[in-house]
Amino acid sequence: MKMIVSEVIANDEIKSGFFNLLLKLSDNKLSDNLKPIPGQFVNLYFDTDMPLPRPISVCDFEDGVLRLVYQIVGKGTNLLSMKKPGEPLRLTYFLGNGFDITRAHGKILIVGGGIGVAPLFFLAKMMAGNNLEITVALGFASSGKIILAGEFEKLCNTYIATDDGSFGYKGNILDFIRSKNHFTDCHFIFACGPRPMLRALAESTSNSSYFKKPSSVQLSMEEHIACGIGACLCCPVAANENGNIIYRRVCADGPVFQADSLIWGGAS
Amino acid sequence: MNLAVNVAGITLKNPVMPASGTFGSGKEFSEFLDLNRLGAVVTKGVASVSWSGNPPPRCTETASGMLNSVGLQNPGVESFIRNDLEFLKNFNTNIIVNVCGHSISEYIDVVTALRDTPVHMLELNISCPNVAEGGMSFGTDCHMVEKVVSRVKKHCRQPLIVKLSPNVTDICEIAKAAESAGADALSMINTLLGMKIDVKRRNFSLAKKVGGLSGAAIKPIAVRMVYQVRRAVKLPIIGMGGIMTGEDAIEFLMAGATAVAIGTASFHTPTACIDVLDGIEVFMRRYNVPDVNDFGRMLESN
Repeated sequence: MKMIVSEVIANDEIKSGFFNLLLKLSDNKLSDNLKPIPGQFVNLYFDTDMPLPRPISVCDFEDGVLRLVYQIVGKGTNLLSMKKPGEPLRLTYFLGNGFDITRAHGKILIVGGGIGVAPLFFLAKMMAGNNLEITVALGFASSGKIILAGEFEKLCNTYIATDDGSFGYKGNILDFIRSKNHFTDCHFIFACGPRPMLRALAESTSNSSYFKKPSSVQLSMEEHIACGIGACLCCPVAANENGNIIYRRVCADGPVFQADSLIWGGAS
Repeated sequence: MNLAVNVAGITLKNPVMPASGTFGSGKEFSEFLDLNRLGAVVTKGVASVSWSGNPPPRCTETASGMLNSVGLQNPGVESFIRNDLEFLKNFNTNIIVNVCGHSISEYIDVVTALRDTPVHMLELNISCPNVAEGGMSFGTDCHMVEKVVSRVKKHCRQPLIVKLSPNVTDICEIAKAAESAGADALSMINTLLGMKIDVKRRNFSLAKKVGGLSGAAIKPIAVRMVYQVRRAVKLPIIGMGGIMTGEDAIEFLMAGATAVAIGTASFHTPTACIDVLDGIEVFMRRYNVPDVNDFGRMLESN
């Protein structure tokens, strides 16, 4: 983990409320050769009147340039959207445990929902071209909120669903998947998106008649974080450890967890 | 230039340490700063057995601050000694362990387990607002404070710091009770009980509804309380509450603190403890202050 002051190269609105941010992680400090693993994130810092960092997942990384795609959801992301090229932005990188793709083989399914598709782009990019049969299934609220779809399509077979049916399949992405026979025998499933989507995916891979037991189902979880580096224990996710419920840290033990290790509880 | 301070017979190379609960046991932050430079490392709360903590969400940002309700999640003192202490003892700094419990006997179990370890000081947590039993319920009543401190103190081999809650009518009375019960030092302030409501979701921002408020927003309250307690008791005070810069820390030293702790600032800047220390040194050089202990005698109209 490192902290640096990066430089904003570009910060463009790619769709109403969604931005594409390119950050130059200053050259001389990159002698450490730190490269992100898909699913890892960075902490972005603002002035002290906003003491908590904003964690954003890596969407891409190439030649020392970090790409983040984010949605304005509150004060922090709103401030972020006003950053202009040339401005400094302090960050810590690369945080958390990403997706484990070292053992990925055979038929791969990548499931994304909303802004959760951003880290999956880097995941798909790192896996594409490795003789894997990769399918991407992305769900959005409506056509106006579809992001990165064209870029995914260049990498692999991509399906889109929208809740209102304004583009692609009408309904949620899990319903779309279950409407096809094609995905039942996927070996590896990777997902990032809203908690109800992740929960439904976890449940349908563990106990539904649809999926034949995949080798690995990996979910990227979200929680309010404070330190982002594993020290403060503010971002728990309930997990099963030898039959006991324990709280694990989204920032340091995750954000990517094996689906069968998670406990979902009553509310989603 | 002298930066060293003395808290209850223990010499700290400088007055800066992290605040309990914001720094783990230092392992994660050691990737960003040199623990050897700190006056002390104050660990997260340690109980006699493992505590699972509160359900999420556990934290939320507020204006120049944050609320947390972690609930003292910790693996218990045995695991702490085996893992955290094993790591910490390699550094040239003082180790202060924050001790928590649901009952007096649980506090005693922890300090007893730490008797023959390389721990330099103990911090008695009778001020956590996020646990139902123990914690703040022990620290808001003078008789209870006296009872807990005097009973636990008998079992301590290391000096005992008592961490005070600001959620009381008169913090000076609590400080006096801790002093007469045998406390060796005070640390203050723990977080202020607060609440945030998410009006769009029509729900509380924290699962436990209430949490502890920290960050720059509480600094004036903390400075005022340190100043009041300084005049009420003779014990050395470790001051904390919203310190973000060296000058913030000096405010606490001038108000009467012997040392300072950095909490929420470490979330905003992982190197905050060192930045504050550097800031104190810069100030001392610029304003020609030879000894960090001089700040406590500086207020003109005391």
